[in-house]
Amino acid sequence: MDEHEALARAAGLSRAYALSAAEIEQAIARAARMRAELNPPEHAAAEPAPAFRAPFRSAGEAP
Amino acid sequence: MAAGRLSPVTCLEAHLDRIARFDPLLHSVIRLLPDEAREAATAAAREIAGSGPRSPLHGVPLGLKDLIDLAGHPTTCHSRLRLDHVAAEDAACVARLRAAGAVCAAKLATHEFAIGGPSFDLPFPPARNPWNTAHHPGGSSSGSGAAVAARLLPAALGTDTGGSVRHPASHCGIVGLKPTYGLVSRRGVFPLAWTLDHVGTLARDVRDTAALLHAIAGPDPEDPGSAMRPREDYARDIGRGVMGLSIGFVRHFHEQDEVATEEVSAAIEAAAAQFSRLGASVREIRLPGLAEFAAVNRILLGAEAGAVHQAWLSNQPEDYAESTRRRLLPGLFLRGVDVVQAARKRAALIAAVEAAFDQVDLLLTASSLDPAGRFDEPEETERTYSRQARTPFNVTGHPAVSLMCGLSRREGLPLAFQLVARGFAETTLLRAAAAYEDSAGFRGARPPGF
Repeated sequence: MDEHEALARAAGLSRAYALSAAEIEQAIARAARMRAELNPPEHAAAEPAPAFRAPFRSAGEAP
Repeated sequence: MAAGRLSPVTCLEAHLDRIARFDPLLHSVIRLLPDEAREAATAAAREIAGSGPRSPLHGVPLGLKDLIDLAGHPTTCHSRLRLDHVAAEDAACVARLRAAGAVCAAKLATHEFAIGGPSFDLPFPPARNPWNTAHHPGGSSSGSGAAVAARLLPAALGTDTGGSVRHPASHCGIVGLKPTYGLVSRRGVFPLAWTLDHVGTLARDVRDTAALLHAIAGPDPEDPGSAMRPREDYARDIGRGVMGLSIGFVRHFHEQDEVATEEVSAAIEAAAAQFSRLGASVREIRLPGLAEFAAVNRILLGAEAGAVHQAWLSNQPEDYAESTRRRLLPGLFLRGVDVVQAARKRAALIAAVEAAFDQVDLLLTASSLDPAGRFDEPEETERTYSRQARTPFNVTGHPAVSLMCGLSRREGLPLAFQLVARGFAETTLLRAAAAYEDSAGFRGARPPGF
């Protein structure tokens, strides 16, 4: 089993790999590009945004 | 209708006639609901005659993107994976439309699960652009955009996770509003990515947009993303003009980050100049680059959509359109740390946009950077689909509206720009949008032949 097939199996995508190994290889490469294109904040303690709330001030609120 | 000059039944029948005549060219409708709609229109006529209209939408036929639940009908998500699904209840936004007296007349085409592109390997054909049916109408709320632009329906609801209301609105020459994150409940709307999903409106003009938003906005304790703030009269400042408002023109989005076509760029410049003529203070402002926002959106959307679709991708991958599968699969190869890094970056981007709103009341940006592509040029469509400036405001949650600002010379396709406001400042957003619409000469622009 090669690396891509192992990754597909670990992701629960054995059937998709059998359908098209090329699609899985492209997906793995795409995920790596997505990771590389993100520049995370430099400050090690910078907090993530809360998931279900856009944490901006409302119109009219003071900063 | 309120004055009794037009019956809801007559209005519905006129739109059903138009759907029968024109939708074979457009494929905007997945499921027409004539019997149920006639019943609702008849009841509306009776009620309006007896006690007056409940709202400006009373008796008005509307369409729903087929990700939105309508009790007793399938919510197919334009997918063969959902052909047998039947919604048990109305989505919260549909329940509110019905409470306002609107008539739900049709379920409308989308890209599969709101993420694929225009595809021909699905149970329903892709919607086409009424301005030129050789071209796509944008997406993923593609049927909503095409149907409203072609006057098959007065207005429709769509969903917007990376620009999917504003994209078809831009390419179809109508008004597309993505409200503030949390202002409109997502309950009963099939998710693409929970933390980025918004229910939005597609309408012929800004006043209709305000009426629709008033009907569907408001808190929902059963939506974990719902903002607990009451709805407002979003039309109350329409007509006040833009004198006294300051607008930050984010020119680098379409001149440096991604370069728009010459005519798109010229149309956006003309829109900015129009706001200056109307009395707004327009000045250039900088935000983080488009690529920064897009990188965050891709990872969060990929991971969340991967979670939604994991079981189907594992067990029935062949049942997706090829383009949908290709867009969904990378999300299953992201790592937990990628998602947290994206969420940390998201906080920084929200702060940057908030800082801009310390200086100005509104932002003016590009929407699409190209006119709509042709169906027979799939590679060009794939290339241009992601050339847009809408995604930043899914990442930040700020309200954004797209407005028509021109027609392309060669193909006669609509061009558009985008206005963005502070969180929950839809009233100001629609005030400025209406001032532009009232003065720029594009309201009522109609696709030739429709």
